[in-house]
Amino acid sequence: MADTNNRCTKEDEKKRFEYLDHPADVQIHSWGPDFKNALEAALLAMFNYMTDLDKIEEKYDMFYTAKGRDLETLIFATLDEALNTFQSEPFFIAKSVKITSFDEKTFEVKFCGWGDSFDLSKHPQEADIKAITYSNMQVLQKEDRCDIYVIVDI
Amino acid sequence: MPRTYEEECSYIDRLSDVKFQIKKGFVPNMNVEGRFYVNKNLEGLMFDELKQAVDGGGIGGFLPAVRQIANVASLPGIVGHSIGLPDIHSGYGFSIGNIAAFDVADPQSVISPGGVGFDINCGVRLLRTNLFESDVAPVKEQLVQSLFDHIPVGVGSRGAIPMGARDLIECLEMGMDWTLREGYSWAEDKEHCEEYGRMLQADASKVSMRAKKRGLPQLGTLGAGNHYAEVQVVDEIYNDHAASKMGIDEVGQVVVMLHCGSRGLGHQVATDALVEMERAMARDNIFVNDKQLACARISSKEGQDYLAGMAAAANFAWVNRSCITFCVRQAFSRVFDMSADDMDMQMIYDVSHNVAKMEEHLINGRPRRLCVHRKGATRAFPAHHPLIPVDYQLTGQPVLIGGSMGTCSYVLTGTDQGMVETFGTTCHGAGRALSRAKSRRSIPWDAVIEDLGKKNISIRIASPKLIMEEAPESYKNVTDVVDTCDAAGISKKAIKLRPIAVIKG
Repeated sequence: MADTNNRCTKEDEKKRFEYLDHPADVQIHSWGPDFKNALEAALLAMFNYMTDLDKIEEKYDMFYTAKGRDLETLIFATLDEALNTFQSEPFFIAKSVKITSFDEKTFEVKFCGWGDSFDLSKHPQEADIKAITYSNMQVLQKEDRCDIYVIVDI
Repeated sequence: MPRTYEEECSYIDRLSDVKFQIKKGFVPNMNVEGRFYVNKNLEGLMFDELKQAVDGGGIGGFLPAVRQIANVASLPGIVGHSIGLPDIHSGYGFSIGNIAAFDVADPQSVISPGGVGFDINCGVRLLRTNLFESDVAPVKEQLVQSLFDHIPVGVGSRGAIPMGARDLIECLEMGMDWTLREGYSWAEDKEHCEEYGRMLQADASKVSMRAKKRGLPQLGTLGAGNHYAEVQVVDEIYNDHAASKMGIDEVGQVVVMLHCGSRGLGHQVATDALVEMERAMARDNIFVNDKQLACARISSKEGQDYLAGMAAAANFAWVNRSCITFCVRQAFSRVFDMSADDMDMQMIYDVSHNVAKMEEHLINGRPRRLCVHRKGATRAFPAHHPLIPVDYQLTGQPVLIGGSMGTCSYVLTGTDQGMVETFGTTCHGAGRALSRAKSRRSIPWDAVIEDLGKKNISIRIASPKLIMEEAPESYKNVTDVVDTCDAAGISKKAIKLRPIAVIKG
């Protein structure tokens, strides 16, 4: 649904994510050479929408696991896990993430984030993401590229 | 073979100047017809959205609101009509501004978290004062700064009210009875709140640990997005009698409007329920047109658990608004060096616009117990209804309609016509017209600030980007929305309010 005045910039191309139009919420579009990479980019896109990632230092790491029944439920669970560690103790925001394992049969991922606890005195406030939705969620997989579309509730 | 735009429109008929009918067959399996209310100006937006969706051929994008109304009409157990209000826009499963009622006695009937929304019991509260615009004008900047200092706003902000895990459980079960006990609310506040600030079916054990963890640091925070606290003045009074019952006697009187919800706790309750219900749908063979319409039979375990968890989240939202009310009263006392009591800072009313409730309504002349879903819609009960406070028995329930940033807000009253047509419900606000991303690109930051400056509105905002997303141009015109409801007779205008200071996430 990207329209002509909404093409991603060079900067987006490097980050591998962009934000697309939706009437009330925001659609995250992320991509990468494979599903793992696209999912990593979606995680960063979510964190980046809430604050400016350039202002975050990599102070400590955080380990996560998420499990789904298919790719969609897996994306939902992964983003929900990460949103929860931001929205409650320790208010963790990741500057970089790495998916360390992805089991294509059981739809289970283990991933790790490097970042810091969100601190109002150091980090700018941007939009608050309320929840992840299945609304029009899409995973487009080709041989050398994977695209993920997910709408988050603002 | 997809239908053309003209073919789509053949299922939509005009019933009156402001009312439209969506006939059965527009989408498969419709159990009842759809209805929506729009005036001339809003009609264009509504049909454009449908046209765009047809032209787009269904790839990417989102479902237009008309089709969402129709999909809701196909849910099992729905009665009356699936109704769209003038501020409707596309949402998750249900549109924002959609009402649907399900017959509780029918074993097929469902409850859907999508029909409530993620921000459970998001709502609006209005406090009056005995101050006038001229009293506030000399200290307006101090006042808006003081409010901004007292109320935690924006993403990642944490509440100032000290809370432990046990307090949270009590909050969830007691709602405003907790804030009253702890001294944050006045006894009169409870009287002027929908459900008296407490839903009795709340069960804190049906709220996941994860949701509680999100709720704990966020109690007493305003949040971000379209949530705000506004200092407003009375701009116009349409109904003297109703206004005076609310303690509003003159143009120029100062009031404070709060718009916020159940924060992360409610969002997580909704998320958890959606996951549970997906499983229940497969088990109970519930088929829906759109998989976002996740739902469960009201009588099933998932349905009952959601009702108990949703009620707990609703209680949390009332506690949240009450804690912010406490902050507002403190801020005013500080600036004016007077007690909040002396400034007559009473609550006019508190409405919820994202909630599902068990209510009695007449269906074909017979009373029925219904589960009424209101998503982006406000309850608007008429005069003499047993569930509204004594003070408003003769006027009808006050309905608080928040405008967009820098535009006016309204107080309406419920009507008998609304009780018949829309399950005693009316609109909730302006409703978005432009997407957030588009607003960021197309509306210049300084133009919004300049415009607010011209209107003499002070603003404090945590996230500068939000100012474009929330610019009035991104929203429908609230006056069109309110006038449509007035013309349709589902609510009547009582008071118009104009902002003089805004605090936002």
